[in-house]
Amino acid sequence: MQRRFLLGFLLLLFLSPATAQERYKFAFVTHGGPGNPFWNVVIKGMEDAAKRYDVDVQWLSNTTFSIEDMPNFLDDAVANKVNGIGITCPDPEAIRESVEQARERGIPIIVLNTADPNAGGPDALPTEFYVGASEFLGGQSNAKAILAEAQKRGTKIQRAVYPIQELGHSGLEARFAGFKSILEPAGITVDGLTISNNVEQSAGLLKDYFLGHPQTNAIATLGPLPADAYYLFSEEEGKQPGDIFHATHDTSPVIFEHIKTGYTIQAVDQQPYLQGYLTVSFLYLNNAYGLTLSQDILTGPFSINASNVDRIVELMAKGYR
Amino acid sequence: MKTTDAIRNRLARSPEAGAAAGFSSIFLIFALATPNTFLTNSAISSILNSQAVPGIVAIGITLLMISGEFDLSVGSILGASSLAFLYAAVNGIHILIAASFGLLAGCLLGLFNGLLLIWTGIPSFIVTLGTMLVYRAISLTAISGGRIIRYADYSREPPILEIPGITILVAVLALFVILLWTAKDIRKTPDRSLSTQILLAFALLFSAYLTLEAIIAIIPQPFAFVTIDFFSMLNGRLDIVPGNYRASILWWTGLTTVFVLILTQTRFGNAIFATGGNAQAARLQGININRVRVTNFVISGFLAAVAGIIQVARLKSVDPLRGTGMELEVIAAVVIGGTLLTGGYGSLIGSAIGTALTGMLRTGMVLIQVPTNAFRGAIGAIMIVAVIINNLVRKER
Repeated sequence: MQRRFLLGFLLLLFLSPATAQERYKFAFVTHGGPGNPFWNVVIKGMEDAAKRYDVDVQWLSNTTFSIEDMPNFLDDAVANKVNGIGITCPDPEAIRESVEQARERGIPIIVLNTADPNAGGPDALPTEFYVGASEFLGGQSNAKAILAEAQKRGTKIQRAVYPIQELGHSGLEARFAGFKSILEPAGITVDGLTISNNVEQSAGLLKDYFLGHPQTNAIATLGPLPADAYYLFSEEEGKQPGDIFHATHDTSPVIFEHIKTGYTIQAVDQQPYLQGYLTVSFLYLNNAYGLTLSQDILTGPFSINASNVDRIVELMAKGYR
Repeated sequence: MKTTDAIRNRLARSPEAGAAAGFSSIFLIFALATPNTFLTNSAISSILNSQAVPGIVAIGITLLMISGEFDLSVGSILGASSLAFLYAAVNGIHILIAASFGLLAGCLLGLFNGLLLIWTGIPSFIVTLGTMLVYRAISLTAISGGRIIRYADYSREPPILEIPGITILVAVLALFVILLWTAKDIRKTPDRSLSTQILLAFALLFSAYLTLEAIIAIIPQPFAFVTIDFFSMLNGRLDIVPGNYRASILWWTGLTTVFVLILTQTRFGNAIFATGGNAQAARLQGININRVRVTNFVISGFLAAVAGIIQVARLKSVDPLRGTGMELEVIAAVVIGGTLLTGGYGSLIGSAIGTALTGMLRTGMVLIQVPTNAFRGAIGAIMIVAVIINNLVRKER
């Protein structure tokens, strides 16, 4: 019995990695992770940059969505004595103390993907800058594209729906606000609808919504899985391009297919690859040469539509989009 | 009997021995693999801080599982009661009354679980699977439109309590006397376990320290008001020790001690074991097993609410998904701690060790730089190893 224990123990020791490395160590602490295709592109950007700069990086998050895990992972990263951290900021108060603690130890922190809503004010978190899209401008871009397409087809938008899949996410709130800021002054009612990242369930919810609101003819989805839910609904109901005007945030092969066939007007891309890549790059530059930026980097909105979708599809196959 | 045999027998009799062995092995592995980072205050405080909340929830789950029941709705109860608390607090209600709202919500939701169980006779696994979704809907409908309720949006000042010093002194003194009284009785219990005695000794020492501190601070001006930041009291950084240790760890330890004493030293504790071991036999002994079950569900709901409020004190916000997935994490920790899924056997100290073990796995994985995509897989694999070690130790009996 004792020999078996000893053997197992030695095996585990052998499997654990070598200690004492001189390379820089960075950590990403985010509210979402590899369970969602969107984040995999950010992770690829992060890993490519890590190879390019010869640094170690680690992605720390719940597989799908969690804010309460963030302060714990931040504390773990600090305990690991990392040289830099990339964070998302869906809820600044939840992570404030952990961020401040990291900062006290001189660890540079870059915000990616979801900006600190207090940035620039007295309550801003002590971070370097933001690498990501302007969510508000993204929401506006989709609203404008929907209005322009309706005009081109000679119809009017009667009412719009905005399904939200991750409740409690300030980035999605900003997209919603941007979307409404264009449509509501044009006299169009925008309904919020709570869905989830479960495609089948959300398609059912959309069906229920459209049953109750048959006049609605515009929808903006907030990610690849909700877009899938909309496509499932639209296919089962036999909708044709132009019946409902659809624009979406973020990208996926299915979304591109629907842009080509005219079901989707545009996808607002935030170029997630850049968010992972640039965060590592700037953490490296900050550590190596003390360099930083004096303002944020906007990686979006970038509009993907019928004019550029083919090129994007090529790059998507390689994991860059 | 040889000394080693005696120790082995003693270990095999206590359900937490396996968890302790698993914990020590994993601890040693991480300590040897990353000596510069693992054995530091930041790493150890990170483990304990993150596990205090699930640790408190695990107390209620352990009592339920020993009595042969499950509660899958604790994550949703935690979410709903956190919301009740913070919603009341940001709407100008006194922070203590707001906290009572949160606790009441937890108790009521737990009571509903228990009543549904005994009225319908449906297994608790199914009942609480249903209420898990129903209770989640409370948070989802109350916080509509993708919002987070943040304390900072309503007030820039932390919630302050003003209490006459003498009240605090009386409270800590009472705690010390109660613990001393329990310690006097515990020596008469024939099957007292070593871990219970150690825990009680620590509790006595700590409460003696608290009493001394209170006497020194309060006696010169007994009627002066003491101001306490409510959030710091529940989950602020502890200034008395170096590192980032938080008050939630003390609440976790304190509540575990209280419930260990209830489970091992009271008639109610006996009734819990009897109900889960053999309900029929328990009924014949005159135990009202339905009352035991309902009480346990209320306790479980109450503790989920306590954990939720303590978590709000750190995060200072509530989102509609708060607590999602916590039930499985906690049940896993309780099982690692040696409590049987079939009921009748288990230990609260084991659950505390199991909870700490799951937290240690997470922090340890970060420290040994496990690649992103393998992270959760590695946690799962090591968790299985911990349970195997746990079972090996217990088979030694």
